Amino acid sequence: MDALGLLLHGFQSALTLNNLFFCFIGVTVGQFIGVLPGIGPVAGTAVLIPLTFGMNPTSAIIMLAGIFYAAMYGGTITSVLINTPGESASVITCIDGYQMARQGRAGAALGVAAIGSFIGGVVAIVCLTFIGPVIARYALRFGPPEFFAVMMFGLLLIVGLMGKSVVKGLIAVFLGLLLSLIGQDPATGAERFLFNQLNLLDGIDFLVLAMGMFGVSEILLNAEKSMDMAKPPKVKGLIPPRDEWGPAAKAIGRGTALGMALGLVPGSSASIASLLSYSLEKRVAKDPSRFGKGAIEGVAGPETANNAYAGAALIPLFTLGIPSSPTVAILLGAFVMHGLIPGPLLYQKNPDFIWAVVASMFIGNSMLLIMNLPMANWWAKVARVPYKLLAPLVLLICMVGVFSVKRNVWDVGLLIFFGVVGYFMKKLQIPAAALLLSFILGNNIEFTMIQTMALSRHGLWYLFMRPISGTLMALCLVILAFSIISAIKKKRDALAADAEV
Amino acid sequence: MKKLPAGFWGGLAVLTTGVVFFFYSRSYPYVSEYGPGPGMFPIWLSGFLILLSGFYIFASLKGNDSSDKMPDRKGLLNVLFLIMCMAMFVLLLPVLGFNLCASATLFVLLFRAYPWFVNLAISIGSSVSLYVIFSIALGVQLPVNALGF
Repeated sequence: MDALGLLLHGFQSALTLNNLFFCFIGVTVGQFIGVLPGIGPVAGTAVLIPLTFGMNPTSAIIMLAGIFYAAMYGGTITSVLINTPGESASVITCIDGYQMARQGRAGAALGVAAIGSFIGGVVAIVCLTFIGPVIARYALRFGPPEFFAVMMFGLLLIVGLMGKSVVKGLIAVFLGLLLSLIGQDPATGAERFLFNQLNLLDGIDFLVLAMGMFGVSEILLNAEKSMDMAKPPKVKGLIPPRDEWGPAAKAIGRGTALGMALGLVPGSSASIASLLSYSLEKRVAKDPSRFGKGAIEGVAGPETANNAYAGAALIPLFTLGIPSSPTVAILLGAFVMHGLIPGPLLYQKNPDFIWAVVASMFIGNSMLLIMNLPMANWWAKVARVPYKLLAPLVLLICMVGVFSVKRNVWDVGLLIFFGVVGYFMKKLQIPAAALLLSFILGNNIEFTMIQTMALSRHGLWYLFMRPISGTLMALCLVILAFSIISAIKKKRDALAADAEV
Repeated sequence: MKKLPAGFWGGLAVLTTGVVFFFYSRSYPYVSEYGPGPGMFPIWLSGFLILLSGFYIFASLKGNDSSDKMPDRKGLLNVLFLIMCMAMFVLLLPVLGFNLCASATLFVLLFRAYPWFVNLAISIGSSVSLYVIFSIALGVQLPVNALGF
């Protein structure tokens, strides 16, 4: 069956009452997380994973994916209305979005952001529909050396793009890899790094690490400052004036292409997509001095780019099993918890699941368009839920959620430990996202390395003797060299962001 | 004496982690019948981590580190308060059961935010709601106390 036929089959499953309900819950929660400053999509998705334990895998992933892409929509509302981004990908929208709101054009800013987000999101999912199966078919030819090289390539891109320092990025990656080794060796079954604790025999649960590093640590960081929200202004007229349609449409087109391209690159993030889109718009504008004073392209481009990114970021996950950002890494963990292994075989073994999730994303984006256009005023009020109430509740949900995985108080203690570690990592600007991604890939990296070395007498040189793995490993060396040179020349600040938290 | 930068202490923590993992790695076989043994990967990883921590400490001592400012006294107390509350939850959960323990933890967390009667209503209401969601709707058994709740 061709991709279109399979997609229609997916719609059949996604449109069941049960899946529609969970899609709605996912996008509503995602929108809520996006609107609320202090809780990002990574923490939001991780916190809600325990709620999916009793669900079938399709409904669970439909809901969790909904949180991921909906958070990108929600963040815009508070950026425009009260100059406070709900999540990091909408930080750049504050610049022109808030200026538009001050000029009485909040409705136009929110309208163009919602339409752009919808177009960017839908085009990216169309790409996922048609490109995904092609990549997956190609990836079926991959052996252990190729998968090892792909994972190394992804990790090095993360080091290259995340954070201000290569050394700190590498420290985060090595720490994540070492943590992933706790438990049993994948080849021999030998017990490693138990530190006399039998609770560590099964290793560290990814949910404990993710919730600690992103949920608890965010709340600890926010405890240092005031999180009071300003009163949002009333929103009127969501359609921009006719003379702004042309520039907005062009910005949406450019944002879609840029966001999609970045979604395919491991280590990039929705924040980087919106940041680059903003600078691109400023560069191509006839009058760049309008930016910062309420230029509609400054809202349309970045908001489209971060949604296109969210859709495209699922392509490497579905086809290669490689997460390109922290939220996608959480989704990967959720896949594994539900007994699904993302990668090329997923298209062959679980086609019903994959096409239902893809179809649900079209439905979810349509729901979000409705939520964001006529209901923008209502969502702006949601942003005023007092943080002093929200933070303790999120902490409690994190602790109960972690406890519910194995019904073990030890895991809750570990959650607090990783929360404190995550807090200090963020203070020291060591990218926690790189640690999480390497932790998730750690076991596979070691296993494919062992398989590669067992396949040949040449040891790891064998990686350079095969065309695909050889090319990727050579690219890894180029990225590493480029990162070190840019660090020496101190030119990393432009892209520095431990983004998407 | 000049105060050492935060990056120095961060680097020292990374160095300690690297040394501990390196020390343990040496007790696992480096090779096995399949090729690399359980000790090979961790030895290299922890070795590189030790090397990187050295670079990090050196950079921070040279003033080339870009860490955020550490919190002031009030901020630090707020952070410590949250950590203590979570620790309290872990210690009391097996004894008091979920409903009582979660209510008590929330009550302490919200103590400065709301009048006591509002706080009490929020704490008990939220804890019971979470119990219903996890224990009844999702079938996750949460701990109960000797009195059965």
